Amino acid sequence: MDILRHNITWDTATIWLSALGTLAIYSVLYKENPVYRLAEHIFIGAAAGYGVYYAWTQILKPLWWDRITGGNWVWIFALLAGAMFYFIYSQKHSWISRLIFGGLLGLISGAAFKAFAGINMDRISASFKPLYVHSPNMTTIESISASLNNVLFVLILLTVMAYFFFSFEHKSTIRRAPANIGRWVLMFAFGAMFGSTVMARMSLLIGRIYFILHDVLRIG
Amino acid sequence: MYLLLVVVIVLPLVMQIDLPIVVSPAVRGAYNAVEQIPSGKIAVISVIWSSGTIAENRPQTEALVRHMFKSGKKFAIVAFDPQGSELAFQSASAIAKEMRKTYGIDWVHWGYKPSANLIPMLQSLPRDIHKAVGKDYFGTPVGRIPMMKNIRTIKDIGLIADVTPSATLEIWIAFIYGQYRTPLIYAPTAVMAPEGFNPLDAGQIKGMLTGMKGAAEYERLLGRRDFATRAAGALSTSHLLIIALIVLGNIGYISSRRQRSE
Repeated sequence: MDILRHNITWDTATIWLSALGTLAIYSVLYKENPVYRLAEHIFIGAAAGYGVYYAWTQILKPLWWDRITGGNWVWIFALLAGAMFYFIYSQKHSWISRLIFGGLLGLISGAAFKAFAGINMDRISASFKPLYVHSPNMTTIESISASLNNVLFVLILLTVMAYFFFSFEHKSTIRRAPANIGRWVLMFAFGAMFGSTVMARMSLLIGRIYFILHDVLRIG
Repeated sequence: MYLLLVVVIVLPLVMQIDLPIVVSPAVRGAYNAVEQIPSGKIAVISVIWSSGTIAENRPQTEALVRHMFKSGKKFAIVAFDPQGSELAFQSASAIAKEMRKTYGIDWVHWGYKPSANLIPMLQSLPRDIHKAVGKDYFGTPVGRIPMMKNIRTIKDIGLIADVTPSATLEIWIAFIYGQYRTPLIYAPTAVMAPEGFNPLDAGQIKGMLTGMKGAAEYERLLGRRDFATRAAGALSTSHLLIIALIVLGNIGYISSRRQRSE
């Protein structure tokens, strides 16, 4: 027992608890079971509790409560504004919540208008690419490769736009062919995005397996 | 099938099989952007990840932190997730201890800010950093922290790194790059990486680290063999298994269709 008392440090206990949690969560791969459900509930509860603790200690207390108790009573209005949201649950007084929601939506809309230009103007101008790229410090192969890249970019841009052009039916071949090419390149793009998703999920699994092997079992 | 997946992941990890890692131009762009931070300016590492994406976002954060310490660039961590705040602090503290760097002199943690507050914060941050940030991780007003004394406006920030599993890049582009042209780099989870290619092509971001793979490439540039590099072999073998299963599935599907038509 003495050996146990000496060797089981706080870190070791944390690592083993994490390992048990990982195995409990992955046990759902076999089938839905009470151990998985227990671990899931503990995780959700702990994350929610941690969020509340953090919100109070890092935000509400220093930025709001301490200011009020320090004599800056104007901050009480933040509580009143926040409380207005909860009137959405009252049929009689839900108009109070609409006031604050309206104000918030106005602010968000204004920010979205401002954001639109910031995000899209550079992208629109970047989509005007030269179809022939050449500069004195480029080799012929580099020049051909850069030109091909740009031609491909412009071709994909135009065909995908043609696919999303719904103002008239794509009956004639001239209208249908670019839209079809656009549909194909979209499928390639979706395939690549799905590949990225697979990579993300595999990375998370590898992370947990590495943790079990390296930190818990001390292998590898 | 799950067991087979575990086997193809465990084997390269246990046998320490290192497959070649080729550094992509996007990762090199991110690396160069860190190198080019002008002296007198700091970098900001925005952390929005939590334990759910720790395998991808932590190695990215650690690689960036290590690079900044190594090249003598000062940086601030700002967290928009309570878990990420703590995890990034632990990582940066451990690396700082290893590389003999001092909190408040070489790096600082601006603390946790609610993600709902991201847009208002980005609107006030450029004009007055001290006011927008308020207090750091320990509750010290940022104006009193030595490395932050002369860091007052967006002009004093030389680079912003967005390490995230969420669609936050557009917010940084809209409110910071779009207006002030502060260089940005993007370190998303692989699932979010497709969102980064348009801004990368348009020059709105200087570089990108795609998930764990991007972190492994960054570690290679740093000459390190940390978690992402060790895991890269397992990532490749797991992808090979998935490709083999897709091919087998399609062969099975085509042959069963042929049998039915006969």
